[in-house]
Amino acid sequence: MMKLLLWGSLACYSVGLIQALVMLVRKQTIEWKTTQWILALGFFAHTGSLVLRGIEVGRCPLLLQQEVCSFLAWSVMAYYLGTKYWYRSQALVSFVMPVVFILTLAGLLLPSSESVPFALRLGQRPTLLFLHIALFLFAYGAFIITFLAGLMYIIQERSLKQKRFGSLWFKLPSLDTCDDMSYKSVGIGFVLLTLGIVTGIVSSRHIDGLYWHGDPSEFLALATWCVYLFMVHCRLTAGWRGRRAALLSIAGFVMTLVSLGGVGYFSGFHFE
Amino acid sequence: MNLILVGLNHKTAPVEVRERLAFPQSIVSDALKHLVNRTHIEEAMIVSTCNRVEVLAKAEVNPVEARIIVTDFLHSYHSLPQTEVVPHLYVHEEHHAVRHLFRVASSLDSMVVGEPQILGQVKDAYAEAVKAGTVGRCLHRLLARAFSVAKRVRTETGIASFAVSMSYVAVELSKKIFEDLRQKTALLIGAGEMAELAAKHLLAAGVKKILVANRTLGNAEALASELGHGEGFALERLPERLHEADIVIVSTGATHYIINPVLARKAMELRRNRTMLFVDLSVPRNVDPIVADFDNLFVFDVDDLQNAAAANLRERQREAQRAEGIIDAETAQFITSFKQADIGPLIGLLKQRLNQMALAEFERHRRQLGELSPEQEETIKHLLLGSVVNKFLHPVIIELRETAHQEDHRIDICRAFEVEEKD
Repeated sequence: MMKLLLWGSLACYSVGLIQALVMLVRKQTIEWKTTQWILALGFFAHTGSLVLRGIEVGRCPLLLQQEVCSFLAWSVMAYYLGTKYWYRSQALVSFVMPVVFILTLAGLLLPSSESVPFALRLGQRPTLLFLHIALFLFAYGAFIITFLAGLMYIIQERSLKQKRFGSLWFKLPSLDTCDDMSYKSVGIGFVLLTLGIVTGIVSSRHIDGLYWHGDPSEFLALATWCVYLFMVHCRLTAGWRGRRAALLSIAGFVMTLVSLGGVGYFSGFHFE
Repeated sequence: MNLILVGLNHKTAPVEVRERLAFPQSIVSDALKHLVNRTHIEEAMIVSTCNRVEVLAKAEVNPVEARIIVTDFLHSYHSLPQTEVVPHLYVHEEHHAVRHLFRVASSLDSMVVGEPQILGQVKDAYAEAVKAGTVGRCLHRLLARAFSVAKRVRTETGIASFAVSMSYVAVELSKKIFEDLRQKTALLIGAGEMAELAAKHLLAAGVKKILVANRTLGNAEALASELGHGEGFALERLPERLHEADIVIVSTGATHYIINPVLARKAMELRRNRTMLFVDLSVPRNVDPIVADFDNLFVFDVDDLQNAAAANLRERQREAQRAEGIIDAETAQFITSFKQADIGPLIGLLKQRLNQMALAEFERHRRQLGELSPEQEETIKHLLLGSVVNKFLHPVIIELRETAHQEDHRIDICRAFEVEEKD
């Protein structure tokens, strides 16, 4: 049943994906209220599949690779539906849908490994642990939006600088909108990431009394946090906005990917 | 239908001819009355703009004769020799005339395809003709349809959605950078005609404030107050005020760079890197090209605007292709529905014919009916025979209404009842 719901939401997303790609190619804007509803339906199915998965395994579905992918896709979709309401820009969907689609597909097709974090096997404070993971994933979802907004900014800025006024130029939102989107999402992501690190430290303390294990994942998370701290800091003090902020958001996204991959790859305190 | 359209436009005639054939608003009414009262033209209207002069008319006579009447009218009314006018004229008849009118109203025939004024001009021409009393059932229907077709073309194609004038392109670019112009400040350096126009467009788009810098303070203040929401200052104070502006329009006759890298960098620092847009409308340029390489700062010169306008014009032309499809469909539909509504005269003819036949039969058998009082005879002739004719005609009318668009069907019916349509 959970798989069925996830397949259903994937089907809805693929409709959105096709529409979004068509929209990029075609010149004039197209009416797509229906697609909006289909995407919302997909999101509800997705939510349902997450809940069912949780009931099925008797814990928050945030541990295995496929669960992480699915949850990340869900959070990106949630942000998208939010920004969609906020900015009313059609172009964002063309960038968001491929990411959501691939993550959802990964959530369905990745092999289910049986490795469960060390900490969970100790059976201690799972609530805090899950909060820690959820915060991280929500933060990463926000950073994906930051990255996409930065990407749109770079594309739009290049066509303005090089004076190429093509179809993409016509479709993409204004520079101010991209910048604003990037700034707001990085703000949300940064706060969540900070909270995620704090809860991680606290729950680690509960498990074996140590705040820091020297785990590669911990270093990577800290490095990611530093990149975004730098981005927020430069924006607030030195007025690094626009192109530089967009470039930083891309750098931050690369760090996010490395750190997300790192948790699964390196053995250490997080996985054994 | 006997519909005819005779005229010339920017493609067929040079401005010397167009201006001599033009009908200023003050004489349109007189000209229309002249045309309708003295000739076999039933209804007429004149569209006269700087790019076209067209007479749309419904004639009592066939198109060949109507064409001669309208052509004669065009040159004789302006007392011009025929040889000067006729070579530039085009003539459209019947559904070609309908199609042409739809294209004109939808701005497909305009010099700048998609420009919005022409629809208003056609509306004015129509109002003028209505006032002169030269519009009847046919033109009323046709023009009403033309207006709705124009609206449909506008909403269903992107024909009008790409800016093609340079000053408007500047506004479009600003919107692609700033999204919402309502909190933005624009600065006008110098005062060219185009710069002023761009400033007006920006104000219309909602810019909060307009600053004007000029070498002479008086001129700056005068222009600022003319634009409204403005403030003028002398050009020497530019370095200390440049950073206030989000959009800078430069248009001076200076031969050196007014905006140099030092000035621009300082302004960007004071603005804490908030995006800035320079629109350089001057030739030679007034903004140093090096400035364009700065982050968060965009410079567009005359060439860039022209290129964007040209690209947009190509977009419009592509959209115009789609619009032609709509026009074709609408023309066909109009002709059909017009013919459907226009079976009135044919029904009249049929009724007259059948009444004649019935009366002839009545006269033939009159004697066998014996003695009749005048009242009885009247009753038989008008009530009895009339209602029999109506009963017979009823299914024929229904048939006609349903198949009115099939020309040969109409002809069959006409032939069967031995009536001849004037058409």
